Amino acid sequence: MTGSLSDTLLATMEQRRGAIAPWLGELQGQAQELFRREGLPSRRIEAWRYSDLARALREDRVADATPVSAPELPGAALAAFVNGALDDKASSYGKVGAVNLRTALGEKNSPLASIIGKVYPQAGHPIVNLNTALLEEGLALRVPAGKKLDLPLHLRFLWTGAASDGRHLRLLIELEEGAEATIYETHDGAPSFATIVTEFSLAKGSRLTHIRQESLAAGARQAAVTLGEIAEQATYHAFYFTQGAHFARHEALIKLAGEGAHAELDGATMVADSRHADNTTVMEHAAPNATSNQVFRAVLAGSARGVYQGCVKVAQAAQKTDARQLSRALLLSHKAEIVTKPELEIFADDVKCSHGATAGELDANALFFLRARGIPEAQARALLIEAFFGEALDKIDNEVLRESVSLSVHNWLSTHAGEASHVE
Amino acid sequence: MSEEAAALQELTEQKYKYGFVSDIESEFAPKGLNEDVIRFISAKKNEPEWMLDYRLSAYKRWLTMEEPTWAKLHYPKIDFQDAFYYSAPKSKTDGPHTLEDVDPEMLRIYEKLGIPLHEQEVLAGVEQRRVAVDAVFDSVSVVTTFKEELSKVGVIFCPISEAVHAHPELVKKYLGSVVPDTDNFYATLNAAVFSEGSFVYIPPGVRCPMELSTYFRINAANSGQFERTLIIADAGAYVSYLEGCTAPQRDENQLHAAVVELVVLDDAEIKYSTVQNWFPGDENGKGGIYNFVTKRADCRGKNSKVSWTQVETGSAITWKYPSCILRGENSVGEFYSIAIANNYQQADTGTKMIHLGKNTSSRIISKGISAGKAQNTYRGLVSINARADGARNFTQCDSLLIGDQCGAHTVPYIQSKNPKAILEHEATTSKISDDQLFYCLSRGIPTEEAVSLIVNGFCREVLQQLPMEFAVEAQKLVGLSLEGSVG
Amino acid sequence: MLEIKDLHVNVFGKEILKGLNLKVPPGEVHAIMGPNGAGKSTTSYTLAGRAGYEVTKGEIDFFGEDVTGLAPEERAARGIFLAFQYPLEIPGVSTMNFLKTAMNSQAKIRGEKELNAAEFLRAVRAAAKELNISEDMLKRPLNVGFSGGEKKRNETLQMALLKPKLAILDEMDSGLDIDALKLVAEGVNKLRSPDRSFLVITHYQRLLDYIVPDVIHILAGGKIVMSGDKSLAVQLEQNGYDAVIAKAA
Repeated sequence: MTGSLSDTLLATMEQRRGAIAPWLGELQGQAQELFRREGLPSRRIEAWRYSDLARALREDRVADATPVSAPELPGAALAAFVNGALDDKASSYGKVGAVNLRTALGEKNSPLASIIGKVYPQAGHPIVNLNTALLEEGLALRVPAGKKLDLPLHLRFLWTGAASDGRHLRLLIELEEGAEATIYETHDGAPSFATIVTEFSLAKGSRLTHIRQESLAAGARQAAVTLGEIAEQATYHAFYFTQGAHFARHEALIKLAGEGAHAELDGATMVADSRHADNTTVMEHAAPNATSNQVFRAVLAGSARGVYQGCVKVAQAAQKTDARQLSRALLLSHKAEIVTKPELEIFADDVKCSHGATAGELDANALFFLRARGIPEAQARALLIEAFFGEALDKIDNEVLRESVSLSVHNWLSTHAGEASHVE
Repeated sequence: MSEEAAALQELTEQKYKYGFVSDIESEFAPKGLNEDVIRFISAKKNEPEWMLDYRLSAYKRWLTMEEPTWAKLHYPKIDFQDAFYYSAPKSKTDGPHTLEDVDPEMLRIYEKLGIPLHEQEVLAGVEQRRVAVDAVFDSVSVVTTFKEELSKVGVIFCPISEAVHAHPELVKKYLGSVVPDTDNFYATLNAAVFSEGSFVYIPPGVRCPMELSTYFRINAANSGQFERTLIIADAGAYVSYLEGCTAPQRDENQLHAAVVELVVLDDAEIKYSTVQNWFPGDENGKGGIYNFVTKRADCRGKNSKVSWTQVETGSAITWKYPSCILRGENSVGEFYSIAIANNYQQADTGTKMIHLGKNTSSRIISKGISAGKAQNTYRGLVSINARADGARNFTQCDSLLIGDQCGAHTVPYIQSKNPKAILEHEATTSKISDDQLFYCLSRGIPTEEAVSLIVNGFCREVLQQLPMEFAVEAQKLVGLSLEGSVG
Repeated sequence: MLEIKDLHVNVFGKEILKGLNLKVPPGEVHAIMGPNGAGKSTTSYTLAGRAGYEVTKGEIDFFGEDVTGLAPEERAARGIFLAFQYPLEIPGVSTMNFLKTAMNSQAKIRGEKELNAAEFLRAVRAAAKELNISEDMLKRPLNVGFSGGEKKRNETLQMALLKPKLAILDEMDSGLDIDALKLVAEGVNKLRSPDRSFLVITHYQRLLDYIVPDVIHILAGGKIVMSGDKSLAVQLEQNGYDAVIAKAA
C-alpha cells in the first residue's frame, strides 16, 4: 500500500459504498477489498512498469498558469462535467437519450444496470476497481436497435482551478442491434487525480465511433480505461489523441466477442516538456473471422516519455483472425523517450497477425526536399509531422470532429515543432 | 483429418537419437546444495582460495534470491536439494588429459554421439576443415583436442577449471565481468556451483586457425550440469565457436544452468553458434532438461562484433536470452535464432541488445516454430541510450504454428532515448498452409519431407549463419524435431 | 492411358462431379472447357489427389491402374503432373532446391537412381534456357515475388524436368498477358510428344489458339455434356456457353 493516500481512498470508499445505488454496494465492496489488497499500481506490476501511478501521485505537481477552456462542438448533444460534476444546466445530453448515472442505475433491473462491471473481464484491474469502489458520477447512453444517432454526444471533462480535486467517473454505453453512435470526449485542465472508466457493449451489426481528445494541463493526473465488447459484425472505430500530462494513461481493453467483429484504433500522441503519456491496449480475439487494426503514432519533444503497450491475444477458437498493430514514433529531442511493447499471444494457427514498430527522427530527405523548395525548417518539420498524423485524421468521418482534433494537432505543433530544429 | 496429416501422425514417436545412457562409473558430490558441497566441488577442482571465496559469496547471495517467474513457462517448483551438483567419470589420472589418457569407453561414447575426438578426423561435413573440441561430460572435461597446435599461435583453448590454474590473471580479470555473480537467480547459482566449461583466449591480431567447439553431455541421473564458458577476443582477434549438447532420455527433469561470457575488444569478433539438443522430454511431456541459461557478450572495444546463432530444438524448458552490450563505438551485435517447440516443450527465448555507444548496430532474426502442445515465446529487449547517436536496430520475429493446440507469443520491449537512432521491428505469425503442402505433394515430395522443406525455408536466414559443417546437421535436426507434428 | 469412368466427387460434402467420363489416349491434347462452377478445378484437383476431394463413385484409370486411392506424391511419381492455376509461394526454399527435392523424391518412389549434382544442374540449365528462365530466378525462393508470367514459366520448367506422362494445365492462361501466354504455350508445345498427353482446362478459348487441342470437351454440371474437335471452341466463342450447352441437352 502507498501509505496515506491509499488510506484516504479506502476511507472514502467506505463512505461511497452504495451511495449511488444501494444495490451496487456489494460490487463496490468487492472492488474495495481488491483495492485494499493490491493498492495503487506501481512499476512492480508488469503492466505498469513504465507508468508508475503510485509514484506519480506522491510527486509534486507542476502548476500551470494557462487559463483553462474546453472546446465547444456546435450542434452536439453535450454532457458537461465540471470538476467531475455533471452540470445539467449547461448540458443537453437528453437530446440523444442519455441519462445521468444515478438515474440509469437507480434500479437493479434497469436496462443499463446490467452492463456495469460486466464488460470485459475486469476484476483484476486496479483502476477499474478503484473507480467502482469510489463511483459517484457519470453518464449512461443506450441506443435502441436500428437507431442511428445523427448528433455526436460530446462528453466534456473540464477541470478548473489550480487544485481541483480528483473524481471517479463512469460511462456506460450500450448499442443495440444495428445502432450507431459517435462519442466525442474532451479532457481539459488539471485534475489532481481522476479516473474515468468507460464500458461499452456493441450488439450485432452496431457501430460506435469514439474520439478521445485529451488536452490536459501539465499538472494533471488521470488514468482512464475503456472496456469494450464487440458482437458479431459490429465495429468500434476509435481515435485517441493525447498530449500527456504529469500522468496520463488510457487503456483500451477490447474483446472481439462475435464473428466478423472489427476494431480500428488510431492513436496520436504528442508530448513535450516532462509530460508522460501512456497508451495501453489489449485486443482480445475470442471469435473467428474478427479483424483488428491498430496504428499508434507518437511525437516526443523535451524530456517527455511516451509509452505504447499493445497486446493482441488470439484464442484457440479465433481462427481466421486478422490482427495488425503498428507503432511509429518520432523523437525530437535527446531527452525524450519512447517505450514500445507490442505483444502477440497466439493460440490459433490459421491467423494473420503482425506487428511493427519504428522509432527515429523525421526523414532527412523529405525535410531537405521541402527546404529546397523554400520552406523554413520549423515549418517543414511541422508539415511533415502533420502529414505523419494525416492518415489517421482522414479516417474520422465527421468533418466537425476531424477539424477539432486537427486543431489540437496544429496547436501543439505551433508551440513545439520548432524544438525539433535544435536536435543535433 | 486430411490424408497428409494422417500420414504424418503415424510418425509420432519421438526420434531422439541421443537418448542412450552410458554405463560409466562416476563419482558424485553428496546430494543437495550447501556450503560443504561447494567446498567439495572447489576441492575436486583443486581451486585456489580466491575461487572458493567467489563461489561462497555467490552462494550466500543466491540464498536470498527468488526464482524469476516472468517468463511464459509453467513447471512444478524445482527442488534444488534433490540433485547432484557434481558428477564425474572416475579416471585413473588426475588433471588435464591428453587423448592417450582417455578411457577407450569414453571415446566410444563420443563416437556414438558423432563427435570426433581424434585430431586427424573431421565432423561429417563436405569440406576437410578441422575443428578443435572440448568434450565436457557431466561435471568434467574429458579431453580438449588440438591444444598444442592452437597454442603455437597463442590461442588458449582449455577447460575453465584448467584455466583457473594456468591463466589465473585472465580468469580473475574477466570472469564475472560480463555476467556478475549478482546478475540473476540462475547466474548466481552457476557462480556458486559451476563445474566445467571452456575457456578461450585469442591474443591480439590473431585469427583463430580453426573452429573451436565444446560438446556438453549430461550422462548421470539426478544430476545438474553447470556450464561456465568464458571467451575473450583481444584487439583485432577473430574466433568462431560452436557448442552442442545432448542428454540421455530419462523420466526425471534435469537442470542445466549455464553462464557464458564473451569479451570483445577493439576490432575483434566472436561468432558463437549453438545447436541445443538436450533431451526434450517424451511425447507426453515426461522428462527433459530444464535449460536456464545466461549468455552475454560485452562489446567493449570500438568496431567489435558479436554474432549469436542458436538452433534450439531440445530441452523441456528453455529460458535463454543471449545478449549484447554494445559499448564500443561502431560495435555490432547480431542474434539469429531458430527455436522449435514440439509436444509439451516450452521455450521462452530471445535477446537483449543494449546500445550504449555511438553508431552501434544490431540485427535480430528470430524464427519460432510451435507444434504439438508446445508454447514458444520470443522475448527481446532493444534499448537505445541517449548517448548512442546513430544507433540502428532491425528486428524480424516470425512465428510458425503447426496445429491448433500450440501457442506462439512475441514479447518485444523497444526503448529509445535517442532521436538519432533508427529502430525497426517487424513480427508475423503464419502457418504451413494446406495449399503449400499439397503443391509439394503434387510434385512427388512426401509429407514429412515437404514439412521439413517448408520449415527449413522459413528458417533459412538463420541456418545460413551457421558454420557450414553444422548447417547440414542443423537442417536435419529441424526436420527431425518436427516429425509427427502435422495433425 | 487416362480413363475416367463415372466419376463422382464431393467437396466439403457437396457433390461437384456427377458422373464424369473421359478418355485420353497417349500423345493427344484434350481440352476441358466449361462455365464457372462446372467442376473444372475439381477435376484437376481430384486427378492430382488433393485432400478434401472425395471420390464417392467411379474410378480414374491411369495406364490400367486405378489411382483414386493413391497419395498425391505417388500419383506424381507415376507421371501425373498438375500445373497450378495459382502456383504456391514457398519462402526460403529456392526453386533449384525445390526442383532437386521433387526430382529425387519421384526417382526414389519409382526406385530409380537419383541424379547427381552435375547431371541435375545440366538438366535444369538446359530446360531453363529454353524457357528464358534466368539463373537468378532459379536461386530465388520458389515463386516468391514472381510475376504471373514467371510463375507459369516456372510451372512449365517443372513439367519439362519432371517429364510427366499426363500434364494437367489448370487455367494456364490466367494472369498472363499475351506475350507471357505465347512464351508459356511455346514451352508447352515443345513438350508435346507421342507418349505424353495433355489435359488443358480452361474457361476461355484464347489459350487454345496457342495450344491446339485434338479434342474439346464441354464440362457442365459436373459432367461432360459435349465433345468435339477444335471448332467447338469457336462455336463457344460466338454463342456462349449457355446456348451451346442448351443445344447439347
